Amino acid sequence: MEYFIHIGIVFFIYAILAVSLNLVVGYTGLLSLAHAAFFGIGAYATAILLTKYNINFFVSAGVGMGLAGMASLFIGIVLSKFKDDYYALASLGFNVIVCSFFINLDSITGGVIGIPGIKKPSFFGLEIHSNFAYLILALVFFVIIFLVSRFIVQSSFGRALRAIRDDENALAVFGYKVLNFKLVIFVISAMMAAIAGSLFASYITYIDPSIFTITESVFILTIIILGGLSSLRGSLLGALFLILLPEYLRILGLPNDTAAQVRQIIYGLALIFLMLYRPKGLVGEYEMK
Amino acid sequence: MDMLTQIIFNSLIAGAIYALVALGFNLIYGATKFFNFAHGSIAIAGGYATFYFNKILGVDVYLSVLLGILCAGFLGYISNKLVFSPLRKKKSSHMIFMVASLGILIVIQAVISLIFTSEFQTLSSSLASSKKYIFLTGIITKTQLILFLSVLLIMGLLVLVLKKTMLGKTISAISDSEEIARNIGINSNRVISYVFVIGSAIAGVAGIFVGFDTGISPTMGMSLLLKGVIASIIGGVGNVYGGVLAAFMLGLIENFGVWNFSGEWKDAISFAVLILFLLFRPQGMFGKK
Amino acid sequence: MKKNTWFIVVGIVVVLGIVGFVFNSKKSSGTTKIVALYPLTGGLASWGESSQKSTQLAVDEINAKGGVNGKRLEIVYQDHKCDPKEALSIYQQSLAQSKIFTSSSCSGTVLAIAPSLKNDNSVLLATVVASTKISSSSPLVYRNWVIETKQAEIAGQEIKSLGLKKIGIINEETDFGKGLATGLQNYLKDSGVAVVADSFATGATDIRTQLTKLKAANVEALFIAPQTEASSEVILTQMEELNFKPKLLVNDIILGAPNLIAKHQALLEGARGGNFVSKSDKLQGFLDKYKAKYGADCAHTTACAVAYDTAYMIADAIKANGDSPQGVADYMRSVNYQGVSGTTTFDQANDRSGVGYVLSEIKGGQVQLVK
Repeated sequence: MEYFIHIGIVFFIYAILAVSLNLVVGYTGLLSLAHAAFFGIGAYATAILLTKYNINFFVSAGVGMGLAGMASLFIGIVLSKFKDDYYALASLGFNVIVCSFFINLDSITGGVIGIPGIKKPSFFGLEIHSNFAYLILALVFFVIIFLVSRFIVQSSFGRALRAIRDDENALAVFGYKVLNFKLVIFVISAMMAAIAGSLFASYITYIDPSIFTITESVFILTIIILGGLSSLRGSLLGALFLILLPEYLRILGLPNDTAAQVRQIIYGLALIFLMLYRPKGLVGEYEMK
Repeated sequence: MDMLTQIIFNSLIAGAIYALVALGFNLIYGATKFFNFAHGSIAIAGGYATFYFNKILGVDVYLSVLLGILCAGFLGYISNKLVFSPLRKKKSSHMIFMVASLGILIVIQAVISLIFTSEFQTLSSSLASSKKYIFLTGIITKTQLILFLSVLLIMGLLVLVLKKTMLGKTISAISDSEEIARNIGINSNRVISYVFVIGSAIAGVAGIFVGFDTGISPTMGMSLLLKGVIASIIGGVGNVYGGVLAAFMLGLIENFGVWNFSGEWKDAISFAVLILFLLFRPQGMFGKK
Repeated sequence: MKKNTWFIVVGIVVVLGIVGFVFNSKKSSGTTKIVALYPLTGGLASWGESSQKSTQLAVDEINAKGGVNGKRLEIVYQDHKCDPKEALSIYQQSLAQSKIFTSSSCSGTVLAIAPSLKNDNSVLLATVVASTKISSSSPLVYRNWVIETKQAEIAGQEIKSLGLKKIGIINEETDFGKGLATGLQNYLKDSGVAVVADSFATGATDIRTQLTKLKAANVEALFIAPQTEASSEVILTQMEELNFKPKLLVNDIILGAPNLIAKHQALLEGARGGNFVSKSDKLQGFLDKYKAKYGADCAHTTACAVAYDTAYMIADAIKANGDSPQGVADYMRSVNYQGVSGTTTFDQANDRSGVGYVLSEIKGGQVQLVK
């Protein structure tokens, strides 16, 4: 049973990451490969505040959101100068740079040694010990984020985002401040990723910089492309599929060396075949331009 | 101060590898206008093919190198034939091309790991036994000297092909505008196929040299490619000389960065340079506005 | 609503598949299972492989002699890929099979599992992890490896006793490499020895400029702290290339890699470092058996010896206290095992004691104790 709870927690964390990235990539059409950086900022902020300063989980998660928000505002402003593949490349560059900070700011982040012994959250002095309680916590966060995302998508703001995605110039002509729209959604998305980071850090209880590299960003992107851009439910399906895939492969009992690579090959082939035959993803509504 | 020459040599060697990646990347980007992530893994595949022929089958070194280059070219051909060409027929967006190429990168990496394990391999039996030359106060090995000369040779040949042959002229025409090229009767699919073969073969040379010089591992493709991409952007995308010059410059910046800070900032420095360039001189050092 | 149906059907099928499987994997009665979490892919795969082969060698021997308490011992090998999240996944998934775990390498994986052990009433014997963070991480983690600070101290003592005034450090940016480098720096803090330190990222293959920098600093000795054999190879090759030949202090990665020593014999001649497994007839006997069984030398002597001993210790624990995790933990608390890696006891922090790092030197391509 513990095992399913574990899978459930990991699923909710990645579902948060996927849904939030979809707001930027799917709904606004900005191919960001920096999501793992914001995931990491949230995780680090929570880990440091919880372990070194004994600050409540919710406060430290809030600080993580704030930091990720500020970082994403800066990064977003720089990225707003770029388009399409240059945007993707520059965002990837920012992920590398943020990761370098995690590695090199030894005194704050612990460098490559990382931060062990991160505590579990507590409510009014009551620590969440059992994984089941943690599952509920993750579920609550996930539901909140999913509902907020759905609200954004269905609001007039969300419609404006899709309009930007489909024809930026037209919208600019109508007097919309396109840059502000892009920035706002980028910051919101980064703050959501930071929450996923907070949950991740206090659940796994150990983080180091290798968790937040561009490989992770590519993985999250794979989730939403598989599930479908511009579809929140698609992101859930993508996350479910890709989180369970390694578990399936382990169960199949392939030799270990093979299993790890087979998993990679499946990721890769999935991307190729989707692009060739179903660029909208499993249940997506939008095709990249 | 007597180490200055050595640092410059180190930079030139690193730069030469980046230059080879940039040359091939530039060529393919010019004709197809998308970021081909698969390019880096094709380079590494070339190195592994040479490793396979030379170290496992015991084929003569020079023949193995030739076979390695052919394998890389062949991979380029196959990736175009099976993935990019069909995508072109569907008039897919550049983003879709890019994601598909990311898929190819992941697949090639995993297949190499499956065959050769994920461990690091060197092509030369022992570099220490390779002959060393001393210029001024710096040391350079024979392999590195050959590498350096090969870059100049390949660059010269490429310029010659592009400027003097019919194929080169059609490539330039397609790079300027594929539509016009098609209208004046150029078989653009065939020409692009050649471009993939030539570009990938040059990438293969890079991978083989990395194998001889320091050693290769399956997952190196991404970082190798990114350095090449950074170089070609700084040099002005599509500019052969610019790309090569920028590659050497990138080598210098990186190594002087390591000299002044520390080894761990290396990648962050390259990306910071890239982002600065994209912001303030997106057309590259030598590009026209 | 077609899309909704589609969505739900796929979701249910995917989830049911996994549920079905896990409930199918029940304990079988004729065997005692132990789960081994090793890095079988990735940069540390060769360590995982050494551990796996040595463990299997021990288990085959134990089973040939009738197993443990009449049951066969079976090890379920799992690949944690050096990824804490993966390790935790495997751990949770494996609880249905066994509550006795052993692991090799990557302190992150141990740290991810440690907090859960108490709740699940399981026990972990970790090997090839030198990080100080693991000390006292859980009363149910026993670390059969000597902590890194002691290794750094050995190098530090050697530097002091040689009266060196300026040394260099190059480390790989991993917790182990970094841990050794900072350990040595802390040890030398007030000694008046100047330290020039640099590092390189895992997977970096061009570290010439870092080495050039150290060469230019005219260091009298260089301490090398790589994480893997591959990165050791990179450092040593490029040192040879640059004609950089200072007095060398190396870590146990290099000391425990015979192939590497043979390949760079000239450069490594006279290099010293700490190693906690020393030559003995018992060790040689084990290494010979290993070679006879697998047709190749063990690539990491220390890791092999410790994995082999650990398997025997777990078997002894089960013999004495039954196959309950608590029984194994109780047994380990007071264990005094004489194995191929020397004496094993555990101290207050559940770290291996009984042996310490001793200074060794590479002479004529062989690792020898310094008297």
